[in-house]
Amino acid sequence: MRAWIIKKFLLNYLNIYLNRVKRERKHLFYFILSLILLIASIAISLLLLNIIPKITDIGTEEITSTIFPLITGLYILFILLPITGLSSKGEDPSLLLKYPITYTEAFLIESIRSISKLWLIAIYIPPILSILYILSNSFPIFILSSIGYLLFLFHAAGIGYIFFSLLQGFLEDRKFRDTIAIISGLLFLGFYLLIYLLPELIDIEKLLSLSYSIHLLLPSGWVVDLAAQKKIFWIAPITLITLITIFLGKHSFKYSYYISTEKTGGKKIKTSKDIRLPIDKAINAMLNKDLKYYKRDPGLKLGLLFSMIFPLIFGLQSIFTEEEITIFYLKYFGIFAGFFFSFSFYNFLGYERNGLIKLLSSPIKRKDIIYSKNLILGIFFIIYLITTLIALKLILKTPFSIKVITISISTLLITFAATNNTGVRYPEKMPEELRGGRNSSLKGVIFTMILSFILLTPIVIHMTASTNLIQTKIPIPLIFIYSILIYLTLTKKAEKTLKNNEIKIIEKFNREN
Amino acid sequence: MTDLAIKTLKLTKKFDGFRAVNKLNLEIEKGWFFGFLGPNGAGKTTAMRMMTGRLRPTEGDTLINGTSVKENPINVKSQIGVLEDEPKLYERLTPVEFLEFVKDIYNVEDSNKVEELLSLVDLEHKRDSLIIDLSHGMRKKVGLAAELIHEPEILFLDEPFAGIDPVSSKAIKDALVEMTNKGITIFLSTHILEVAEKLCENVAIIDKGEILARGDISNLRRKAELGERSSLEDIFLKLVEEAEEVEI
Repeated sequence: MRAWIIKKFLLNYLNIYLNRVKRERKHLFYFILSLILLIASIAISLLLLNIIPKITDIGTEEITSTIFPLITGLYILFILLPITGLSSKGEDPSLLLKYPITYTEAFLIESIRSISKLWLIAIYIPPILSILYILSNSFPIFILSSIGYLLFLFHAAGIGYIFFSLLQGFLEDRKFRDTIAIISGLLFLGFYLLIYLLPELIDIEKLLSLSYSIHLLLPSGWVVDLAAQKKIFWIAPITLITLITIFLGKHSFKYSYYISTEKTGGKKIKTSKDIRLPIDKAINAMLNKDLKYYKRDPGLKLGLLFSMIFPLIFGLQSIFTEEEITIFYLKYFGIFAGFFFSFSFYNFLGYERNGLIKLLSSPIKRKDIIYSKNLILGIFFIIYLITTLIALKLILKTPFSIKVITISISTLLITFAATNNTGVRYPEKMPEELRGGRNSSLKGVIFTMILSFILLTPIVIHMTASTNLIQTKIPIPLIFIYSILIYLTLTKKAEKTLKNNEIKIIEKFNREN
Repeated sequence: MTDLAIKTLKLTKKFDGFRAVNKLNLEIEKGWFFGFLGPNGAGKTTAMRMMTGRLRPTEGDTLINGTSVKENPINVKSQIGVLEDEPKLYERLTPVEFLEFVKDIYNVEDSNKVEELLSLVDLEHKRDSLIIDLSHGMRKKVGLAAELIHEPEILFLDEPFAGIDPVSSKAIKDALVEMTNKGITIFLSTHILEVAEKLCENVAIIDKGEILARGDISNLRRKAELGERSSLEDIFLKLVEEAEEVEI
């Protein structure tokens, strides 16, 4: 009976995946992408097998110092994925434990499932195996180190689940998950910054040699040492640590199951008074609702932070490179800021999630929905713009430019005109919690970009005028009038589209429950 | 002025060739507590979604107080309240904030309304907790309060008592009956027959997208050829079984 359930689970997992691929275009797209990645990975691995042995400059030590951080990276990835909630909700161990199987079996199923993802196989199996082959130099050692590596993968996936299970009570707390979502997003941005800052701060070569010297402290180092130094005894500790992982996994799953069945009640939160502007009641209500959402919803907060930080990152990047680029950046700050700010919100209806059904089931004027969304972002943008320009003036001694403000607002209005239209055409419901990745409409992104770029042409002409290509400069007041006209015309069109599409949108959001 | 609150005109929905609802014709008078009964998958939710402008019918239309849902959806939406089995809420708001928000988008002036409704659904103690952290039953109560805020002329309810505790359930039932006494029409979609038997004066039984029978309980007894003491459950089971036998 139990063997039947385990077989069913593993086969069902495969069948569910294949059925999804058959039914939904989105999954088919990711499946094809994973296959392409796998083929590319095999091709690169074969290339490595041919090229590396011919390069006489590269010795075992160099290869080892490259492969060790790679495998250790996998170790960290497996530990972080379940904790950050970036792996899917279906992997919650407690879901599996509702069935009559033992904790050990449940743990083994989860670990196998997590290392059997196509994209992960593509990244971590063929290239690493090819490098292990090069390092081991003999077939029996290669076979042994491959077994060691596969055991290590199993141990890494298991360790991830042990961490997840032990921290589950804490991790399942919504507040914690919200915070982690923000931190993960900021880490992503921080990584981009680090690429520019790290070479300035740290001696990379020293770091790599240091990592090699401490590699034997980690199982990833044992696998590398097995292949590179032909020390076959490492297979014993690798096997042992995998068995220990299974033993601990069993107990952590048991603990996790009891935690997940405990119920948590809703705690009181601090609320603040609503702001009342002298505008329509419904728009006021939408503004206040959105203000609360920007404060409480990590998805929205992250979107806002991204759109504020991205233009600044480009600035910082240019500051670390060349002075000329810095001047170029300051000149184009207006376009960057306006574009990033509104473009991040092309899916403005999707951010309403289930609430959108309530909103579209009410008699609120459809134009009020669109205007209120633009208004709140507009307010944030003006505050952001003025603060940034004052900061730039203080730090880089740039002039406080009305021209930059006008260009920024014009860009914002034009991009709003584009996002309002694509947003009502291709809304994609965002998940309530940032778990299992976030949905985004590829069509929405592409159409918003195309439409924005076309509509932004007069501004680009203004900025590039007086060069050899374009001689006539479009005056700024004309650009401003143009942006207002484009905004009003296209927003009216968006309102009409929303009215025509709203029942389709409700159906779509109802389906995605 | 029509006396009909809801009138469906050959309302039909096909999904990939399968008829979930087939030429549904219903006439519901103002002030009725109307029960829409059927087994799981009978087409109740699909029909209700079409009647309330949340799903496009393949054919047909619905008139709400004489206004076409197809032609004038926004006008219809101001006259109705719809509570689905899974209420659609802004989950990062507290119940008070959500109800205040709904009050404003429906342009309701009564400043005591939110407090009254919170008291009705017994959620005063959770007024400052985020909806996302509340249990299913509590969310349903918030959803119901939100649908009552603009005092709709017609209230559509899909399994409103599932997951709600008996004390609150009783208070809500009493409030709903009180509303029908004031002339408000209630369309209750459910498969819990005891609830329908207690509350509804008129019912329709739907199975496989088609109406098997409609009328008051005594009418349905006659149709099912059952005695005076038979319950709605007996009637329902007999009619559904007969329909299945005919199909075989």
